[in-house]
Formats: sequence, C-alpha cells, structure tokens
Amino acid sequence: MQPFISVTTALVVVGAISIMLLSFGFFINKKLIKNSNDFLYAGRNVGLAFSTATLIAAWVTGNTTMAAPEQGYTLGLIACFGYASAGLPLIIFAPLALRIKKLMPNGCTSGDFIRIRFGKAVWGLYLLLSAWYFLGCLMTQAMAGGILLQALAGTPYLLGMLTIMLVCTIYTLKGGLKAVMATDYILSLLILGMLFITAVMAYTRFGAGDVYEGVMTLVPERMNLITSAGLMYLGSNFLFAAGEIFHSNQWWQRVYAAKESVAAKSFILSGLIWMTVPIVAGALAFVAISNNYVVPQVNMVFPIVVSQLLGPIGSVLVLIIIYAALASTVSSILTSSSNLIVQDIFKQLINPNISNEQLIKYNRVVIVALSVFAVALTWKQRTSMYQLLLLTGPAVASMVWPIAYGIFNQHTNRVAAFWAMLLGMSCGLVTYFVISSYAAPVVSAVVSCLVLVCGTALKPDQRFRWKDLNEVHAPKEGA
Amino acid sequence: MMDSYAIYVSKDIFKFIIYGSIVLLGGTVALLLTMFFKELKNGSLW
Repeated sequence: MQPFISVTTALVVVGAISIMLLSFGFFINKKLIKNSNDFLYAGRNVGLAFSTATLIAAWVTGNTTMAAPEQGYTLGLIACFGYASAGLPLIIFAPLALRIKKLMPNGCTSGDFIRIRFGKAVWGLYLLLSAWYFLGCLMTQAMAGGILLQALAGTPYLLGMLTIMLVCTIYTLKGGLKAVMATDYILSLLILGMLFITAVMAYTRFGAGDVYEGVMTLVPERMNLITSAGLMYLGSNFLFAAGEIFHSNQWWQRVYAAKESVAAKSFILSGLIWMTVPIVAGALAFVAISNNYVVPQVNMVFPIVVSQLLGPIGSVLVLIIIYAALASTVSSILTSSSNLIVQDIFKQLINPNISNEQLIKYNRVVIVALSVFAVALTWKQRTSMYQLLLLTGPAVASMVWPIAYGIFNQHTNRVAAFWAMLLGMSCGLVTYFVISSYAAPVVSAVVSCLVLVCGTALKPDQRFRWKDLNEVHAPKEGA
Repeated sequence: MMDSYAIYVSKDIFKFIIYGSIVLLGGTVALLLTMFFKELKNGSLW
C-alpha cells in the first residue's frame, strides 16, 4: 500500500503534538506537583471538565477509530452500535463511582477494594489478571503507534513505536496524573474536533441519503440490524468493555481523583459523548461501500476513506486523531498500572510505611520499567498481539459481577467471588478456543454471575463491614 | 450469505443516526470548552 502522506509531514505533525505534551508535563511538574496526592490523584479535587475529558480520552483508543470503521465495513451498521455499546459500561459505572467515593474517600487503587472486600486470595488473582490486561493493552497501543506511522507515512515501524512510548513516558514521569489529565483534555478536544471536521467534510460531499442508497444497492445486508454476527459482536463487546472498566485501576484512579459531586456525572457524560465516536468513525465505512472504494486492507478502512475523500489533509487529520488517542491511552495505562504496582505490591508486601516522596519516586521507577518492558516485547512487530488482547476478554469479564455485587451487597461471599473469577475466566477461555472469541466474554460473565449469586445465597458473608473499606489512608502531605 | 431474519434501517433513520451523531459530536466539543472556562472562572478546575 502506498503511504498517504510524506515522512516530513508525518514527523512535523507528530513532533508538534509531542512538544505540546512534553511542555504540559514539564510545566505541571514545576508549577502544580506539590505532593504525592497531586502526582497520583491530581489533588483529589478534579472538576467536571477535566474529569469528563480524561475519561473520554483514556477510553478512545487507537482501536476505537480504526476498528469501528472496519467493523462497519465488514458487519454493517449493527457493528457500529456494537462498538458504541462499549460506552455503556462508563454510564453503568457511574453509581459505582459514587459509592466508591462514599465508601473509600481516601482509597488509592482498585486493588485496595478487592483486598479488603474479598481477602488476599481474590486480591492475588485480581492482580495477576489485571497485570495480564494492562501489559496486553500497553503493548497493543505501543505497536499501534509503530504501525500507524508506517502505514500513513512509510516510516520504519520502530520510529513510531519508540516515539509514542518515549513521549508518553516522559510527560507522565514529570507530571503524573495531573499532567495526564491536563493533556487528556487537549487530546480529547483534538480527537472529537478532528473527527467532527472529518465527518462534516465527508457527509457534506456525499449526503447521508445518497450513501444510504449506495449501500442498499450494493450490499443491503450492511443495513440489517439483526445479523447474527453483528448481534454477537454487540453483546461480546459490551461485556468485554464492562470488564475493562469495572476492574481496571485506570478508572478507579480517576474516581479517587474526581470531586465527589462530579464523579458520577463525569462517567455518565463521558459515556454518552464517547458513544458518538465509533458511530461517526464507523459511518465513514458506508461512504467507502457506497462509492465502491478499493480497500486492500480492511483494517485500514478509516485512513483509506478519509484520504480518498479529503486528500493529504484527511491523512493529517487521521494521524492527529489516532496519535492523540494512542498518547492518552498509553499515558493513562502507565500512571494507573504503576500506581497499582507500587501501592498494592510494594506498599502492601514490602514497605507499609512508605513516605510521600518514596511513593512518587517508586511510581516513576515503575513507569520507566513498564515502558522499557513494553518496548522490549514489541521491538519486533507481532501479528498475534491483538489476539493476545482478545484473550483477556474472558479474564476481565469474570471480574464484572464480583466487583459490582461486592460494592452493593455487604454479604457477598468472598470464596464465591474467588471461584466466580476463576471459573468464569476458565469457561470463557475454553469458549474462546472451542467456539469463538465473541462468545468468550459472554460465557465468562454468565458463569461468574451464577457462581457468585449462588455462593452468596448459600453462605452469605457475615464478617465484612462497610467501614472496613475506609481503613485505607492516603499518605499525609509532607509525610 | 444473508441472515434469515432482517430488519433494515430506513433512509430517514439512517440520516437521523448519522447527522444526529455528528451534531452531538460537535456539541460535545462546545460543551467541554464551556465547562472548562466556567470552572476556570470559578477556580474549580481542580
């Protein structure tokens, strides 16, 4: 496939965004980072604008803009809704966010909740599954950076991969969650704004009515809302996304960072806003279908359509949208996973009396270590990486019910929670290999729910008290 | 291969979905900017 833009143009665009991100990191480190609460939780008093924007930016990954058009192209409109259904878990998480703020106002990680609520066996299993997920995510985003620049400008794979990892590591290292949230605000404006401009330009040139007529003439089944593949994709994607959001420290860290009055609102608002992204991006696939565009690689539908429609400007818009999406996701994974490792492993198992300064220092060390690890594992482009990420579907879906049930039901049985996660994941993995990857998260969530509900009904937990969750104390300023 | 059952989206609904999503997307950019400046003015950004 021919490159869409010149190497110089790609480097200028990536360089400009990178300079902006690094400037934020250094500025925030100098002016706004006073203690570990600023570095790890952005001061725990974040307002609605930053809180909403950071949720959108973290949840719009490279996949959102690339896979939604691909799914629209191959499975039709129902798949665009299927992809958009990944925004629903953000909305459903809103009451949980409010409850987390009330029960654990000084909470530090998602691991805190799991450890206190369910005990060390579940906590250990949770940490293993969580590490599998965040490493898989980090690697796919790093690889996507390399593949993006390679596909758009023909640069070597390593250049794009190393650029995204280096830039994100440096600004995260300097400014912590506060820098990530500030840059997420800018990045979410870039993603939403550029996608809006792209869609307006595309649908001004080809009206939605003409596009509809074209699709109905050439491939009418793309407008069928009840295709079996599309409906399976919808259910699977929703449960996979619910697992990702409910368990991952990325979202819990943002709950702890937000003001109590905005925690739930920001999740609802970001979910609603997020859902428009895959629908608008996915809708561009119908322009390709109705105009009979040649699409040699189906996973490149988005850049192909936009560049054919808008020329080199379109390719620059694609580069900005996807680079911004990748940067926000990588930095979010780095801050949340380093926090989980330091707070849950180092603080709990090695040094419970860790000081404020040590917390920041160790978080920075782990951020660098995670980046180096991800770079080493993705030094060579791996074709099986996306499959590896899909394999985490059963793992994360098995954690939805234990977390949701455990937050609202005081008598949730902790042994049942352990087996719910283990059996849910095991059945999901068997389904993945024997039936299909789409069915795996569904089976995992159903098995996990049955085990948890039955176990709790048979033997309700009598030991746990809600006030136990408030035992978590963030380090005191200057400690 | 076509599925046995089918519910096709009508032209008007398709137009509503596409234009509605684009308008919402544009609206959210305006909403995020408004929230930012309002909180900046009130000193409640963070």
